[in-house]
Amino acid sequence: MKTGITLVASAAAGMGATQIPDMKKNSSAVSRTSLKTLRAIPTSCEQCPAGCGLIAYLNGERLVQLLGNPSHPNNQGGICAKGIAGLNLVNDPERLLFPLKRIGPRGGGQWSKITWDEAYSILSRRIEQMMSKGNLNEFIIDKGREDPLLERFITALGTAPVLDRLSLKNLNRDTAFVSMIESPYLIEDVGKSRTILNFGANPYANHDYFIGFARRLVHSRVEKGARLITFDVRMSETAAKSDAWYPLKAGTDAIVALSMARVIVEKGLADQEFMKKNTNSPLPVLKDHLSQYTLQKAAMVSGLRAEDIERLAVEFATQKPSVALFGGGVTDHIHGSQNARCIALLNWLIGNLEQEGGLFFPRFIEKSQPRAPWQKSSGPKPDQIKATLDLQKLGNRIDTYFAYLSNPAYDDLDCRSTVKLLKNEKKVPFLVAMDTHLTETAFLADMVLPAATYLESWGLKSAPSLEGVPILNLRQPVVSLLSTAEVLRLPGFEVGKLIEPVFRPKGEAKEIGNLCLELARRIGDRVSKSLPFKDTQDYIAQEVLTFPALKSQGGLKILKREGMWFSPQKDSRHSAAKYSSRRKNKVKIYAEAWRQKGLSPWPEYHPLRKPEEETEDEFILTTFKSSLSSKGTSNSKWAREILHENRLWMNREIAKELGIQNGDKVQVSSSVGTLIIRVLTTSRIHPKSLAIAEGFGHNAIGKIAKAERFSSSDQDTRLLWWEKEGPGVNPNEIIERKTDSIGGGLGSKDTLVRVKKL
Amino acid sequence: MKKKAIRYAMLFDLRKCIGCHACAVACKSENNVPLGVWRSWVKKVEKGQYPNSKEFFLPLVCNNCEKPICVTVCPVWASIRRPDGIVYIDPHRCIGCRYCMAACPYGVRYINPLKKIAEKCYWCHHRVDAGLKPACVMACPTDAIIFGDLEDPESEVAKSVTKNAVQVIKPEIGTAPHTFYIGLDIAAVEAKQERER
Repeated sequence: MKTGITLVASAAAGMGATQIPDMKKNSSAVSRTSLKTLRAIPTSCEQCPAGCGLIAYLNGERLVQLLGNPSHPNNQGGICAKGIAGLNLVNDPERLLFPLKRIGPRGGGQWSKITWDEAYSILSRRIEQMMSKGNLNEFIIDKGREDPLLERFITALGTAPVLDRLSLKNLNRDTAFVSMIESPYLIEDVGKSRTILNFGANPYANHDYFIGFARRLVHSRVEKGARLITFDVRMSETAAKSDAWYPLKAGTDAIVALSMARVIVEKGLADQEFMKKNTNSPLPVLKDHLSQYTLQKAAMVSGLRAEDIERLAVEFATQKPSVALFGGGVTDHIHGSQNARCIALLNWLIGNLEQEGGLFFPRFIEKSQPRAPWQKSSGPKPDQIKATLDLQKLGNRIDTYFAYLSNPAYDDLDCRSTVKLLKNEKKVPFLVAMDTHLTETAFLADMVLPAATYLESWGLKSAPSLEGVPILNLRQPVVSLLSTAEVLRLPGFEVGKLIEPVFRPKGEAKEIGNLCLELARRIGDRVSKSLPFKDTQDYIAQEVLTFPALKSQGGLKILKREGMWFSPQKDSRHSAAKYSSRRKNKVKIYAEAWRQKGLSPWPEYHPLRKPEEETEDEFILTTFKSSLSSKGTSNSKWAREILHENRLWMNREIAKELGIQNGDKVQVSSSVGTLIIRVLTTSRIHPKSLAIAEGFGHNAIGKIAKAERFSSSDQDTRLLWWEKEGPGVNPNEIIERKTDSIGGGLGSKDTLVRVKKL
Repeated sequence: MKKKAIRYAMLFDLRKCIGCHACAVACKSENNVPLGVWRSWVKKVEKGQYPNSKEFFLPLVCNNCEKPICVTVCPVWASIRRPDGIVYIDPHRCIGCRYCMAACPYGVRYINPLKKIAEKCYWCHHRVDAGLKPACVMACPTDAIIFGDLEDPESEVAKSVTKNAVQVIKPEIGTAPHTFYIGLDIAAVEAKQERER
């Protein structure tokens, strides 16, 4: 009886396979219902800067799944939750799909639909007016994402001030590295390291090369027995999966690193040859400088035990290859660039440059006019504009403020003041926001333009390679595939278009590149000369031609098929002569340039404030990003379902002293504002620190972000179950706007707060 | 030589799990799982006193047991154990009586709020039958999830299960789960599910 049923059921379940199927991670998928093979299109992800290779699976015309590209050398088929949740971003029923113009008062939420033609003429007229008056410096461009055509457009305009949110994030690190080795960053080869010291970075949840980096870290830990030691005020995902977690007082990583350096130098464990040949600071001089950083002092300041610091220093210098890496916990401070230099010093002491398991210069693909990677970017600009509010301080009059995928009304530190400025029609006469959703900033705008998502647009980027083999990533549209009938109805129909799939962004959304091209056309010669392209696809096709090696191998055709392309050089890490020649340039542990500016030339520890100024009831507020939060997932149902509310992390012992219980409401106040938030009592945080996750507490963007149930074309939105718990709070509302005076980056993890039980 | 029967198994290497929820989201996307219910999820459990604190990540799916209680109790034979070990619910037979949900010691079954029938993880059998790996295995960024045929000594899962000490959840019930773990902590299994914040 039972077997009979089983057999029938097996047939019903669509199984009849007698052979053992070959189960490799490969890039194909079947429809769950019809069992048809799905169309697979390789592209690359842009939820975070890592640029992982993606495969988009289409069932007919519909995008149904996003998974990692197994042949991509960085992520090797792995993908994070954010990447998969990209599906929610394009299919979101609350997406902004039409250009809107404000009617009624600013921030009133009343809109009327306009055509793109109208939007173009409003924008181009304003730009032309500014040009004729010669005050283009009143056209502010606030960009949350890089785009080569936008870049060209800005350069062609000339004087428009730019707020570059992406470069701002790593400004302190970049300044520190440039002062030492003239490259804004280095790649840690963690896959081959044996000892890894991690200061305040959280590569298991959030990192510049997220998945690729985490993969290698996990691999070397589990398969090769590497030791990962994490110093952090909070037990991050990385700390939880480290061999040891050392909670230290916030902002004291530098003194721990310096006292470790002292141990390494005094015990004679430093790489003497490297220090002599490749750095500008001979050991005896450095020893003199480091003598002030005793173990006892470091232990007292950081709260760690002296013997632990000493043991780890010895382990780091002897169990090689080892590497010291750092992240936001080190750099997002008012002394962030100095902190970064102190951690970097540990790497130089053991000769960690262009060494397996150590640090490498990033490799990029060569264009036909070769440019070295350190010349690629113009380098960090510590004096760049850091926040919308800074514009006022600089005395800039604003005429038109253009925000592209940037949300200053939410993301800026002390964002309540930013909202006040943006609401002021005298100070910001015309605010344009181009975004995928009606964000907090777009809500205040005079005109809102629908932006195409990264899954609907073209892009070409040389991703920082973790294996040393330069990669070129192609981003191609995978949404929405037009049917044959729709292609036939296209205005510029060609027969060739029937063979290749044709995609169109949803609704009337447009790529920023196409917007720039059209504006340039309307403004005329001066600008349009530097943008001689038909559309973004045409730009990519011409850009591909500038890579000679790629051109000879099939150009855009191979890129479209594979989604990326490697350089033919096999192991560029060791063979490339230019990197070895680069090594001859000495590492500047003593930064002469800094001394000339009147700054301290040595890596030094600077406390946030003097110990005698500290009071008992103050905490240092730190923020963190979970593995699910990014701009693209703020209205994603799958990401929000897992994480929809943030709480104030507080050490359990301290909470007990204050009479606060898990889930209690408290008032957190800093010098710029107060927040009401529930407490999460935990053993995973330093007693003097409090932590709040970023990316919560939206009051715009969408109902999912705001935790409201609603009816829409997606039946899931009626099932939203976390209305009671609410959307959490936005920590940026109470974080003071402090910046590192040297590096220029934000000191977002230095705000002192008081807690009061409600 | 007669070919041995296929017996699928899944192995979670918890040493490699970074608690990123990629498996949970990949599952939602692959199987169109509505909000409020889960076929695959990650339980995060905190343990210990500061500063000797610890956090465990425990990804959970259906154990696709060798002796599934849910199959035994189903009054309409909708829950079926396939010969290859995958426990499957026939959506056309299920009447949504929740008997299986009450019987399952692991709480992996749910009633689909839209279809009103019982559902659970079945290791993406539509993919497996086509020679593909389940969606969570494909997504896992650190290759912490291994899936394959336990009877094939050459398969990765068979090799890992032989090489490492593996555990199953609640072995005392005698359901013989075929979802294995490396580095399973009993405290993490027993702890109450807390929401991540």
